[in-house]
Amino acid sequence: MRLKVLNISFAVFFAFLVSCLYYLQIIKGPAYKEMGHRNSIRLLSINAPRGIIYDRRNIKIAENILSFGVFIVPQEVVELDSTLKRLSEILDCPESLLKRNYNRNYQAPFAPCEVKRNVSKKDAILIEELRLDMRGVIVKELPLRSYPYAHAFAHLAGYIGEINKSELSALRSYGYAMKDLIGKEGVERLADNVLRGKSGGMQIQVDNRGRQVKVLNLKRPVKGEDVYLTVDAGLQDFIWKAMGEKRGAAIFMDPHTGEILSLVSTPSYDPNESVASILYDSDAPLMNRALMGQYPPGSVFKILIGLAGLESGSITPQTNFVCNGRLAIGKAVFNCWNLDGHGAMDIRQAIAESCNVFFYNAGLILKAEKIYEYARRLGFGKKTGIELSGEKEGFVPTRAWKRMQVRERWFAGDTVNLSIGQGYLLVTPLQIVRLVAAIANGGELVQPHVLKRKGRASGSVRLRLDAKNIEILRDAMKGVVEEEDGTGARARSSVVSISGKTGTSQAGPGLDTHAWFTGFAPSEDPEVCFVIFLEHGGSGGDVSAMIARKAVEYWYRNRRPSSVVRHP
Amino acid sequence: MLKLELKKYKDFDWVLAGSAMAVFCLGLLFLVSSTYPNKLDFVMRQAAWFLLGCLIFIFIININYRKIVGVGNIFYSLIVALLVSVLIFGSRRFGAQRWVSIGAFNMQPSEFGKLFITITLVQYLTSHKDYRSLKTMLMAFLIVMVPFVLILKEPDLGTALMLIPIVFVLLYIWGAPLRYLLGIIFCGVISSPLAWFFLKDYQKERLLVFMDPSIDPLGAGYTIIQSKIAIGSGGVLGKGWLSGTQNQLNFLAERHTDFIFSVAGEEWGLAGCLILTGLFYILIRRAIFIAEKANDPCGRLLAVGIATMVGIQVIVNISMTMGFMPVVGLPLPFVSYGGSSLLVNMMALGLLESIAIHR
Repeated sequence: MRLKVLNISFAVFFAFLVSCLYYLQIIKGPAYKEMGHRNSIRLLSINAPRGIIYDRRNIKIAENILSFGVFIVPQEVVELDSTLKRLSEILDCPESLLKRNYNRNYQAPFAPCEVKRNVSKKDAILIEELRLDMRGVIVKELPLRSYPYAHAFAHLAGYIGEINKSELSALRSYGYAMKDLIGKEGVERLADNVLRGKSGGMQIQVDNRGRQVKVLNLKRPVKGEDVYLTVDAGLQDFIWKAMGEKRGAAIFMDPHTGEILSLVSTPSYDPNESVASILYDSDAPLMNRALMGQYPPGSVFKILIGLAGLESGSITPQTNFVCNGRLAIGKAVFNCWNLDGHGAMDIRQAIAESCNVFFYNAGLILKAEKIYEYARRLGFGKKTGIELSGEKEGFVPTRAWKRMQVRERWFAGDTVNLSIGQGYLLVTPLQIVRLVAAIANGGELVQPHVLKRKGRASGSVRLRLDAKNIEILRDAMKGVVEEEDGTGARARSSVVSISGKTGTSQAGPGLDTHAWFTGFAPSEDPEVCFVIFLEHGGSGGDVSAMIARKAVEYWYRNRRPSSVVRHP
Repeated sequence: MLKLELKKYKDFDWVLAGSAMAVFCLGLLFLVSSTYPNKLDFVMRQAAWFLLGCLIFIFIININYRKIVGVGNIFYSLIVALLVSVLIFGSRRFGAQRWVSIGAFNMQPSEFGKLFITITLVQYLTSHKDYRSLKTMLMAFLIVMVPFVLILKEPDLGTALMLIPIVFVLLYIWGAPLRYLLGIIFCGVISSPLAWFFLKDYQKERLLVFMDPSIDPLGAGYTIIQSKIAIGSGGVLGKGWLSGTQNQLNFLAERHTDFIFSVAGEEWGLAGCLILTGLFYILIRRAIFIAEKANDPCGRLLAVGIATMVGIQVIVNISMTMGFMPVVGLPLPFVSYGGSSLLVNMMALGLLESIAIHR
């Protein structure tokens, strides 16, 4: 009887064992299987080579060159401290730095951990030879992003850097991960999703101490796609050099397609170096002045006033205003730059000689509202929509704005100032070049862009301007350069006929004026339009006009596909 | 004479011996896997111990178990002496002093203690027929108490605790009144919180970790968590012999000794586990069957004692690898690596056959 009880007890216990097994292996089985995988399988990502950035003639603007990096494989190293000491002697860099890099980059015992990058070839060979003495130290070839044009393309190409927290949280769902390199500025940034490719990975089986046992799976990385720009590297480099030490921006654009041929901003920086040191530089080298800088346009705005006057019928080609050097409105007196007076002026002459008084009168007839309307139509006060990030809108003032913000009513003097591109008005160099493009191409507001596109660029707008009016303005701009009294005579070239408009805008009390020169070439059948802007660069007819002439001549000589641009 | 010999062996329990043999063979396969791909040292040694065990087994089945029980007090003196010598001369491993060197071999007296104390108890109880005497019962407890304390001192909590169910089952089958037994159990349960103060720190830790393995996932809880992962991830059919990742990649601690069942669970799955536990169940059922067939209290008690000894170890060991019982150092009979354990189990098997034969 008591034996039977014993029998039953054992039966119950064994039933308990069986149900425990069932619970663990069947009910919880999949969960434990997953935990087992996580235990023993590690993922190691392999970065994809980044796509190359080419200019319009397939010249490399950003590429990957080989550099050498020194790595330590933690599971193979015998004595970490003595190994690091040895390396610090060979590489001539502090041991503490190597140690810090090691700790920062450590992933897993089997994963090579970078302790020093950009090691010279000589050191790399030396370490390779000493390999037997230093177990676990390896030299690997690393792709290094290189920008052969350095400063010249800094703002266009941009640079790459390690992903930061806010970028990571925004882009995590697009497959970005910690320590990824990501484009920070320029094309590197705007085309990052194309350039970066797809990183591959290795599934590695590890033991209980995390050491690699074997590779289970290998997914090869997919190289990023190459990106082709509309920019001409030779022209870009030429203009960058022509700008020299001056601060400012220069843009060359195809007036028919909106393709940016060159976009330079100075001062610049070398994207091959770390940008950390120049982040707070007072010259703001990181700022792309071509589309982030907002300045009063000065006399180059007269193109718009003239266009608005003719289009709206406020003035005709025959309208004359007499300039005797100044215009008095109430008690205020507004000077022309030529205090002796230009005499009787029509629109053509007024643009060629940049007569202020003519445009004071034209502006007063037009009124601020009409000026605002035409400025908006021609893309002022809003972004052009170029792909590059950080573009500014500029500003076109209105009566209502002044009442609200300045708490003053709009005076006739405000209209007068606006008519010569002064006062509250702010524009970006990119907006100016687009205005000129509309004159050059016969009335189309193009969409500026730097990425090569198939077919016509979208975003261009036909403005339905009267061809006769455009012809008048073109003729006037030709006069600026060609005529004896033209303000842009220094842009006159024996190589190619250039049309343009100077601008000398007040930068504020006590500061040198900003110098503008914008135009197109060849005058008869424009193929390129441009703006050269120099911050506090003096008179618009001076240095900026000369730079424009040199650059246009360079472009003209090299513009044909047959003429090869040599790689610097 | 020969005829008589053969007639004598006709009662040899083939099912019992066969199931034990099968368990051992399966165990050897697990052992190969748990030490793979290192040398087969452990396997060869285990096999050698088995052969020695077979000799002892054959030797014992030819002796009438009554003679062995008759000298139970000698076994008792021997084991107490050995346990004392362990505490004095013993070698330390893993923070416990459980082994004593005899020549080139390390012996674990507490393993033998389980069986020898069972024999002693059987001797004592068969010589006393006053089932209702509380004195006799307490005396039985006292007999156990001396080696119990010595083993506890090593410390080897698992083996020491093993003795308690053996006493109770023996007293129960012997015929002690149920109310006495329940009373003692009641007192034990009441006073058990006091025992907390006598436990070593690592033993307390093990108990706490059993309650919640996640309190110390890298320390004491690690073994349990990894073992559960191993068994759980085995699923229905397992990952295949020599293919368990938990096992082969070293995540399982103690996997050739106390945690060998985790290897079985991972590589052989539910199917393998059911076969193994099934064989154990047959073995224990068979031992109790022998107790039923035994025609004297001596044989019945001895068989029951051995069945309990083996059965409790199986249940506790398997439950502990699955995380359903605290980790106490108990080997899985016939499977875990260890000479002392294997020899004791072979002796126990021999005694069972002796009971079956010498009716």
